[in-house]
Amino acid sequence: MLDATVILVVATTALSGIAAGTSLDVSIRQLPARHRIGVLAYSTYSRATDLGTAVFWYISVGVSAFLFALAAALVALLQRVPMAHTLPITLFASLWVVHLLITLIWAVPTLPRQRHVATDEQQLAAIFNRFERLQTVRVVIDVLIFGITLWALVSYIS
Amino acid sequence: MNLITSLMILATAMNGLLSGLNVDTALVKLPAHLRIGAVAYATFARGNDLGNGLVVYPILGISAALLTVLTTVIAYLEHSLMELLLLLSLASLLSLLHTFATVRAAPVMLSLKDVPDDEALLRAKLDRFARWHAVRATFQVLTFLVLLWALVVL
Repeated sequence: MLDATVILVVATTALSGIAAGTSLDVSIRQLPARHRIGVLAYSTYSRATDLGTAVFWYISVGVSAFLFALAAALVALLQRVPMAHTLPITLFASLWVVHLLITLIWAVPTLPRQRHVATDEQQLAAIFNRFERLQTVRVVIDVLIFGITLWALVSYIS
Repeated sequence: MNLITSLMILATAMNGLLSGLNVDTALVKLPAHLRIGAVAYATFARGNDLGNGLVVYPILGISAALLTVLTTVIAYLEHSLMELLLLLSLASLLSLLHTFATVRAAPVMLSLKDVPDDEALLRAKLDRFARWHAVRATFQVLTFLVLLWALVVL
């Protein structure tokens, strides 16, 4: 059972699980906190994480999961594995491409804009509201990807 | 799909999500208190950990631990393969250790609600929370990885 495709699917599942949990945390715990503490206090925290380990961590997890997903799809196609395995593998690889595009084109440029509006509460609120909408799309994709990676793993259970 | 497989998938899913939440807190959120100061971070934590966190973490944490232990018990009752039993037992042990670390970490975070905005006092509390959180995050990620391993040997 432990061929290259399975190893790549396991690696993608591990990273996608971590990514989905991280994304859920941002959507359910972090972003709603601004309504309790105010956008200025939230912005102070957000800017600190933006410039901190978040950059390294999110890029590492996202890009690694994306690469493992693509590698799994490629190896599955080359090995001509049965459709029962190829379907979920192709699905999660495609969703990772969509996720990366949404992140790079829309989500990544949004939060750094807070540095230019400093203490303007209305503009900060608009920035966080926009980011929240994008994050909602991303968290749905993240959870879907994790579910599909588990489906791919289970497809190997006889 | 039999009962053990279904429970293992559910347990793996819950533990995976909880791992991501824990790792994000350990690597992204908590280090921010060193940059913005303990008072500013405590303000954020009161909206985050003591906001929706009061509902989200217990739901995920308790269901992940319960599902892991339940899967292990049923695997024993169904006389599953020894390799699977060992891995599930290890996952249960790690899950219980995560719960123990949470029992130590949670009161520190909960106490932030009533602590005045004193930099030194809050810094000491956040440092203590960060230490216990690092322990529970490690146990949680290990639980998730062991469950993934168990799914592969199933």
